[in-house]
Amino acid sequence: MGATSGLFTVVNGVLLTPLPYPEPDRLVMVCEANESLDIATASRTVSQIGLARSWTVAMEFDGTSQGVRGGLATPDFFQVMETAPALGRLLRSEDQVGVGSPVALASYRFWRAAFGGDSTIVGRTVPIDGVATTIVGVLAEGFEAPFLDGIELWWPLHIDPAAEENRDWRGFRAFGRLAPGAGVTSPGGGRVE
Amino acid sequence: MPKTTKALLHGSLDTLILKTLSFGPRHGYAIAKWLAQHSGEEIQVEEGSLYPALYRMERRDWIEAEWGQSELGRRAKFYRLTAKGRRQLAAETTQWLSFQGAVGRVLQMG
Repeated sequence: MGATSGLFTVVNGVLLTPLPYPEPDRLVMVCEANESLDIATASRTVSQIGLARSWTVAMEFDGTSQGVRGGLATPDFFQVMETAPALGRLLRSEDQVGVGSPVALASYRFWRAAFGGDSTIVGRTVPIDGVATTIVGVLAEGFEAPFLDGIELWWPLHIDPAAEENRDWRGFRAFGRLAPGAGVTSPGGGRVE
Repeated sequence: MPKTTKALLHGSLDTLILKTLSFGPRHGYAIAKWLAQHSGEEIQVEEGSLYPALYRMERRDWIEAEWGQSELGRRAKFYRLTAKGRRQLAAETTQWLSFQGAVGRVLQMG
């Protein structure tokens, strides 16, 4: 039985659903269950987890200000999605720390529409919500995250354990890859591997 | 706005914003205007309080934002409730009304 059956299953109290992506039998989405996600438990079944959510911002470019449907993600999110950039690079864990000039990735469509498909976009800085942000990469054409369609710019989720405001972040979806040999149990008791 | 009302507003601002949005998506300025109108001008929310509250609530996933056009034809960020936001509003409303009842009873004691 393959992952394309679209089963919703529960493993150790964490909701998992198979997704139709490359190597679909190894990619699942882990949903928040009861407001708390037990990553340690999920990680026994899932070998890698990335987090992502939408985040709306304003961008200034070429003298005009425009609304942007943005997204926040951990670097692992792009690893889990197994996507390669069209230009530049993806996000790295170094992008997540410190208060230096932030970086962002542009979606392919947004790169074409907002930046005119400019091949020199990588390394350029644009003000986003008033903060100078460097575009470090353009995502592959057609790259879309499940349940997060139309994201135009992606930022790394900044981690600062000391910062009070970081504790109230919610609304992230978690995406993971099944660990080798791990399976997802269907409600009927059958096993999907 | 008198100092007492300002202090009282501080604790209930998030809930008031959630309530405003329960009637439909609005941009920041429209939220403040709605609250003023529906409170007999007693609730005056300043930009300095409103936008940090909206930011905080968006992080908490109680509201989500998208760009739209205001009545004046200008680009504005519109906010709407998420499912979580609706649940939060319900819980806070119950708690608030219960608290208000209790305070009122004590203050009205002979």
